[in-house]
Parts: sequence; structure tokens; C-alpha cells
Amino acid sequence: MLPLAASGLVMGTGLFLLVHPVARPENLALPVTLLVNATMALPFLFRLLLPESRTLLADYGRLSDSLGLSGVARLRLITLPRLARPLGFGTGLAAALSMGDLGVIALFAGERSATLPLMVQRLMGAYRMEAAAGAALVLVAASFALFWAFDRCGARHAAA
Amino acid sequence: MLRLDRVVIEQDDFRLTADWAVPAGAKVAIIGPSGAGKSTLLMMLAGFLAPISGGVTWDGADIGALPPGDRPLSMLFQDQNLFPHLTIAQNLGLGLSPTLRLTAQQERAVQETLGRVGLEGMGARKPAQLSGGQIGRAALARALLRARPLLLLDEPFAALGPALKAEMLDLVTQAARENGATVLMVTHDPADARRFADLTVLVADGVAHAPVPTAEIFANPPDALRAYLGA
Repeated sequence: MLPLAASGLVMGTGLFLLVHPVARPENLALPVTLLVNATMALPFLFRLLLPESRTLLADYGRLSDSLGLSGVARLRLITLPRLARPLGFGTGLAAALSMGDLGVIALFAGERSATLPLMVQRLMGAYRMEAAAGAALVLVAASFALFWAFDRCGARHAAA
Repeated sequence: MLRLDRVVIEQDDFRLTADWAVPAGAKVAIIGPSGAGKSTLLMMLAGFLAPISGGVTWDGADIGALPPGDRPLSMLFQDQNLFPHLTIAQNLGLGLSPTLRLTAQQERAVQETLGRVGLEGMGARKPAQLSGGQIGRAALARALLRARPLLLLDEPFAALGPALKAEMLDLVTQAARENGATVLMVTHDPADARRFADLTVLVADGVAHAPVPTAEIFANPPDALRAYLGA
């Protein structure tokens, strides 16, 4: 639950200060953005998956144990298919959240790499409002499309 | 032979003791008031909870330390015996291989067993497309495929009507005879015990009593059974 208490910008600043002496932040923009956004999305996914996992264990834990289902086979045959719906929804949510990231990238981005929200901000800073509006539209469409695609994917695999 | 050697189960303020043996190939009904610990006894045998003292042996070998999947037994639960997202054939296949990578021979065994329980051609269906009786048959078919020497039934047919339940019990009897399996069945219905079991274990007042021939116990019921039967 800790990531809920820290914003992406705070975490980004911390990582920037840690990384700064040993590497050029621009080179690490992608992995750091990935790491911070994954961490930020974790509490939401955890909350989504926890009740479903508990139900799965209560309903089918003993049956799985009695059949000797364990490890990778259990994950592949039981856990992932039974949790496909919340996993898809959660992944979609994480994707949409990450698409809108402006916290980490603002510190780590170089001249030639940026996320769409940062692009929008830079364009607005340059008073290129029409271009900013266009980029924002792309951002909204892409976020929604990603969310929809992951959610659909989960729902399709969950078809029991 | 299944032997419970001075077994004591404790859960909070619940306590159950058992010290007896069941000969191989016997069909045993476990009967008693609800909350007496009939299911708990089965859960202990299946390995889902450990007794605080005593041991369980099968043919002289201690099975108390084995994980549920490695014990020489199959179990049918009250419900949720099949995974709803897998087909009936896949559910049966899990009895042969927990990774579901079946050889051609195993695939044939699955199809044959489906036929044996009267579900031929239904292997591709999902459990939701089956009736309650058919689900019971499929669960039993998986136990047949596993061919473990002990079969534990925790009232898996309780939700079925009387005729269907009798049919399922006959199927269990037939399957047990073919496989030479020992069957322990929890039931709250004396008619089930009379129809199915040579021996009856009465679970009451914290004790799972030693098995007694079914006809005998109902002809001359002890006080605890008399109270349960309301006779």
C-alpha cells in the first residue's frame, strides 16, 4: 500500500537523485518510467486480485490440492484462467494509468524522448495549443484503446 | 486396511477422537448429527488438516505426512468437484496428470471412463452445460481414473433427488467393486447407509465410534444414534 502514499513525482525525484551520480538519466528514462508506473499501479491491482484469489482458494483450493495440482501447472491450468477477468481489467487500468504518466518522465526525459502527456505539456508551454489538443486527443484515444483491449482480453479468456 | 491409531483432531473448542480400522474393500457410512465432525474426519484423512496426535496408516504405511495429492485416496466434495473453466474431458484428465499433458493412451482412458459412467460424447462440454447428476458422474469418473485404493465421499450427492442419488450410490458400489476400492461416505440420511454400506461409523459427542455392521447398528441403535434418528 506504500505507493499510494507517494506520488510518481516523489518517487521519480528520489530515483533521479539516486541515479544521477552514476548514470545519465536520459538513458534510463524507459526502465525507470516502467518501474515507477508498475509500482504505482500495484496497490490497485492488489486490491482487485485479492478478493478473487481468496474466492478461488476457498472454492477450488482443496480440489486442486487433492489432485496434486501445484506450481506452474496450477498457475497455467487454474489460477490464470480463473483470474483472467480481474487480471485483464487490472492490466488495462495499469496501462491507462501509465499512459498518463507525467511524474517520472518529466525528470528523466531527454530532448528526443518523452511521453505523450509530457509532449502535450511542452507544446502548451510553447503556446502551440492546436498541436497540444491534437496530441491530447491521441493520448485519450490510446489510453482508452489500451484499457479496452486488455479488459476485453481478460474477459475473453475468462469465458467459462 | 485403513487404520486410525488413536487419532485426536482439535479445532478451537471442537475435539474428535477415533481409534479403529476399516478392512480393505469395505463400504463404510459415516453418520451422525450435523456439526459432530463427519466432514472433519474426512478432511483429516484427505490431508487438509493434521491431527494433534495419533496416526493414519494405509496397509501399514504411515500416510499422515503425505500431501493431499500423494495420499492413496480420491475425494468427492460436497460441491465444486469440477473446474468450471475446463471441459469435462480436461477435468477427468487432471486425474491422470496434474499438468494435463496426456498420452494418446491416457486420452483413450478418459473417453472409455466417460462411457463407463454414461457420459459418452460429453467430454467437450463445460460443467455448466451438465445436470447435477451428470456432474456427479463426471467427478466419480475422475476418481475412477485415478484408481486410488480409497474413495472418500463428503455427501457429494446430497443435492440430488432420491432416485438420482440411489442411482449414483449404485454406480459408486459398482465402481468400488471393479476397482476393489475402500469407500468412506459421509451421509446424514440413514437410508443411504442402509442402501450402500456394509459398515457404519457413528460420529457423536466428540467420538468417531468404531465401525459396526450397518444392519446391526440400525436394528439396535446406541443412544446417540437413537437421539439423532429421533426414534
